[in-house]
Amino acid sequence: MDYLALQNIYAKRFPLLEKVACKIKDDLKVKVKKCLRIDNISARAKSIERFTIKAKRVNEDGSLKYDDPINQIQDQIGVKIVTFYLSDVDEIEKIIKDYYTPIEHKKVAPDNIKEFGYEGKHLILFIEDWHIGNGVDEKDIPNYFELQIKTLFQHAWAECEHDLGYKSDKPLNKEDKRNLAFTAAQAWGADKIFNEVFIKIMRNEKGLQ
Amino acid sequence: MFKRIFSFLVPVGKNIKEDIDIYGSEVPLEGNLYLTLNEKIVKNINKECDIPISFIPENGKQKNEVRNILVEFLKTEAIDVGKLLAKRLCGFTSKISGNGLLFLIITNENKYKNLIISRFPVESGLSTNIEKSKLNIEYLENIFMKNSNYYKATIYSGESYDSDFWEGLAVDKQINRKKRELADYWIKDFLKSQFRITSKTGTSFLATSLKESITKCKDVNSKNKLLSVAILAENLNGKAISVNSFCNKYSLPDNLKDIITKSLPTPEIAEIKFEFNLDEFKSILAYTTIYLDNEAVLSAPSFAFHDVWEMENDQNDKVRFSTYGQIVNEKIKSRI
Repeated sequence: MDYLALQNIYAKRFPLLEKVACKIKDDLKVKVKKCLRIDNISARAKSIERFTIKAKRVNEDGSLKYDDPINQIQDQIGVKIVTFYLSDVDEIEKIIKDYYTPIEHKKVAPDNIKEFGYEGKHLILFIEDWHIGNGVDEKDIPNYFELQIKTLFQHAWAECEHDLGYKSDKPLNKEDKRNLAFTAAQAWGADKIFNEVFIKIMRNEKGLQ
Repeated sequence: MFKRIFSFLVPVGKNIKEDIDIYGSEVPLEGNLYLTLNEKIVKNINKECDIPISFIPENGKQKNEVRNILVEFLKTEAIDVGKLLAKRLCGFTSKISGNGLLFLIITNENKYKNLIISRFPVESGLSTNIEKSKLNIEYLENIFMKNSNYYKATIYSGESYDSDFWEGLAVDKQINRKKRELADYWIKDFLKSQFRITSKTGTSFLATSLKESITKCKDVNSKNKLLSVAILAENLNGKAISVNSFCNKYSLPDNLKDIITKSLPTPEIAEIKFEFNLDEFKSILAYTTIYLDNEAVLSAPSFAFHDVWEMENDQNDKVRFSTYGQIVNEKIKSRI
């Protein structure tokens, strides 16, 4: 694959992606304004460097993960909604589905029940014409964007883990991985307890037992 | 440009346990059938299909069995793969719908590949001929009426099998449009799809553009006309409409239609069909109601309340409201 040509194609569409990302963010802000406990909504176009790195990814058998990266990589525009409690994640997902049509919606969590690691809700949603605006060739814009909905703890853990992954030249050793899993478990526990207390307080406010 | 046409006779198969054989064949790209299909479906497909739909992900995953067949059919152009779609349609075809003729039409447009999936009802009829001064009448079953305009069609277009073909455009010319726009068995069951524009999104566009138009209108009559259609819209809950059909339904003059369309994020949105959602409409065009101690009840959209009602205070903590407009509707309620 001609990665230089691919990089040029992506670099050409990058400014447009940034504009569309802003429009999507503004649209989402309006849609979820009813939800009170949103810490932050951010949107970004995947950087040219990160797109190229992702495009070169290989499977375990050494084959290319993407044979048509410009069409297959779906997080060229990524939006993140960070909220306080776990129950907010479900509430926000419901609101989003009221307004956007997903082609994928899943909870990302370790498969093994004894493992702790990255967690969050991921949705792949259509980019709409009204996000793109007039005068833009739709071929320069992907069909979809990725939306992540996370709690503050899920977000904090993912950001640090991602940063360490990029900073390290070689793969983390077994103890480092175990330590990170420990912090993920703590984040998971903190989310669980905060949510339980939050629900208890809300129930009391409504006069329920 | 036509590439391939396949046709299948799809019998009633819903609630039938026995395995039903499906028969199909490729239609040559010449002759009367080809010309009829071109005239009836392909030529006007982009104009006729005006309801955006998208495949529903299975268990949240980026997977949909109908899309898988569709993509496989476009890749292979094999009649056996097309037959999978016909077989699936058969399983959802009830006695009410009756036997049908399914057409799978592949066309090319530059780099784009299109697949049109269309179903015509098959009918029965009489054939007559005169032989040796004698009239022969024959009863025919499973005939396809050339002039029939009762068909369903869906078009999918794309270039990449990975990222495209998740959405399409549909039309249902067999259904009673006053009630619904698309037969459930065609969209939800057979195509495992849903409306692409959610009812809340579509309604929010309509409500927001109406709200902005009411604010923009300086002319009192125009403002009142828009306010009155906003009230009448309450009767539309659950019905499929577009911004344009809404304007036409209430006979809005061109200048008001133009203001509404220009208030939309893009003019194309005016054509998109969606299911009207009253809750969403009301949440954007909320009404304020004031009750006075003389039993009077005053109501108007919250954002325009003080434009509609002029209020004067007097020295006894009493208020006088006045308004000016044309009566468009009157309601009597037993209790407030």
